Amino acid sequence: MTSVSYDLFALAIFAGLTVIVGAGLLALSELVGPRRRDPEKNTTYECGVPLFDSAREPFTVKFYLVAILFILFDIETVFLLPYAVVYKQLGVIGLVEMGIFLLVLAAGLLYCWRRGALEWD
Amino acid sequence: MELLISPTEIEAILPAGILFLTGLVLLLVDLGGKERADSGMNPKNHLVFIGCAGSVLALMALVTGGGSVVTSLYAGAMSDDAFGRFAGALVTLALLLTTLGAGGYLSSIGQNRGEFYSLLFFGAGAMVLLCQATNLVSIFVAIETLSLSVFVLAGYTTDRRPSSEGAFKYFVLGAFSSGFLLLGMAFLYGVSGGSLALSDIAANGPQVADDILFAVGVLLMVIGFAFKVGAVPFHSWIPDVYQGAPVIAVGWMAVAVKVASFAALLRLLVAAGGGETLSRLIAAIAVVTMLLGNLAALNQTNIKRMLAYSGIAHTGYLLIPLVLGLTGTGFESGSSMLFYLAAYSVTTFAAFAVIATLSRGQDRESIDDLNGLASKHPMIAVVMTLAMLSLAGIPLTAGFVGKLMIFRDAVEGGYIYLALIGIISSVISVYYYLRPVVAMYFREATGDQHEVEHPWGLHLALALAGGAILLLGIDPQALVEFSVESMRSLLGG
Repeated sequence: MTSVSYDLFALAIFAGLTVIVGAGLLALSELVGPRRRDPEKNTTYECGVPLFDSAREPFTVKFYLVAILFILFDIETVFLLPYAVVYKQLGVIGLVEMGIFLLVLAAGLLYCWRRGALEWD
Repeated sequence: MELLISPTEIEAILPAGILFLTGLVLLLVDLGGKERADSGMNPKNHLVFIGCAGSVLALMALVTGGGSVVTSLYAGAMSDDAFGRFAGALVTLALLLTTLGAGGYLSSIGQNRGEFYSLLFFGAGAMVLLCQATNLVSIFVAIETLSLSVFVLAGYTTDRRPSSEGAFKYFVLGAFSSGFLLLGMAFLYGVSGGSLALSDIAANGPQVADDILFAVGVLLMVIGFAFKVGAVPFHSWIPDVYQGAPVIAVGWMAVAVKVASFAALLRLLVAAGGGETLSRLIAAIAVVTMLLGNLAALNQTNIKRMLAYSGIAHTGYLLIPLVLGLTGTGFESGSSMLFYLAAYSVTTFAAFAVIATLSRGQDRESIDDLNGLASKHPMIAVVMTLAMLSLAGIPLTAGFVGKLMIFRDAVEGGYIYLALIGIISSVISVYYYLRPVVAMYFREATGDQHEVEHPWGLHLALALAGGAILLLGIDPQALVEFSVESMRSLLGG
């Protein structure tokens, strides 16, 4: 078996597993999941804002806080993933620099937490 | 590819690193719990002590290290010359004084929280980096970081409308000016053959000097910096922001932002040049800024607004060395700018710190609030008088020596009209600088307006600043030589 077809074989197994697990989970929830249908549940985004409504609704500033925190940790991921690819080449200095980066982010998270930014009420 | 950081590089970034780390520590030390809400009246001496320790450490790192001639650290992003260290040390000194004063002042308005200190330190770290930055991207990142911290400091007292209003104006105009800066950088990047380093821009300068894109790029960057330092016609935000912001933050903004921005602007112009046209343009800006700042200050009754316009006027004086540098006589004139920045820093800080001492509950910012101060608190009145005389440029104060150096350079460089307008506008300024002095010494106090607390930190900061004004005024030789050397290190490469 050449290496190319070996790679494709692995991909095929991966795709097959994905389909089986995905379909299996959907089937399971269809079979054993509870059903409580009401108008609210049947809307497209159950937890979001109404789809057809005035665009000038005021909404609470807490959403912005969540969005800002989300972006912060999104950026953390964006930096961590490329680092994971080259961490061996970067050596000890790279490890220290990422450690500093994570510590700064952790300090920010600690600050948010103690200031109560993570509580909804 | 092994990532390497040389000891020189660590030494170069150490001061800014210490400042950022101190900011982080200050943020975490004052976390407290939910009950922290009402602890704003507490002087919180531990925060002041940590802050002072951090800034003294950073100052020591700035003063002791460096001097290496390696120009390209972190792949050309920053340098470690005496020029950057000099300007960085000015910023850190201002930080030390501000931190000393912040505890007493903030507890008097009931808003003493760790965030204030950490914002000061984050901003200061960015400013030190800006003084050392030698590449367009690091300049921009440093400017944005310091701007963000200063925007928030301007709006720190969220319960006061003028504070929020000033911060919002500052934010919108600041973002606008960053656009100019960024567009100018894009042009320079394109013209200099796809390099962000100032050294490459300098090397390409002669070939592209006639390129219109190069001229536009430099001009746009100068406009961006003109916003930050408040040169006319980009000054309109200054009075409102200064009036609204808590006065100790105003002292910090007025001093540190100007020092760091002028240092970066000087470094940029030394690299990029710009020639006759740009020089004429900056000369025009300098003239208008000097005159408008001083004339608009004449009628102010609010002392913060008055000092805001006075700050605009001083920006005008500080632009003169740039004019001289651009047209032939050379950037040796930059040394007088460095000295003037030092003199201006201690003087302006002293003036704002005096207002901070008088505030209780809220800022007492009318000139009438100073009435009769001399009989109740003679020492505070003496420092205020010193500050006003120094701003006006009366002999035996730091401001006099600074103005003398700048105007001497202007005359020697053939710009007699700039020196003349500078002197005329200084004479005009004496009128309004003496108004607080008259109020303090020759008017009667009304009511209990000078029943001030005695925050030790503010008084210590006042004493240091007042002493520095006198010292620089009487014996400026050491600092003059130091600024000449720093300027040489920038030019000698």
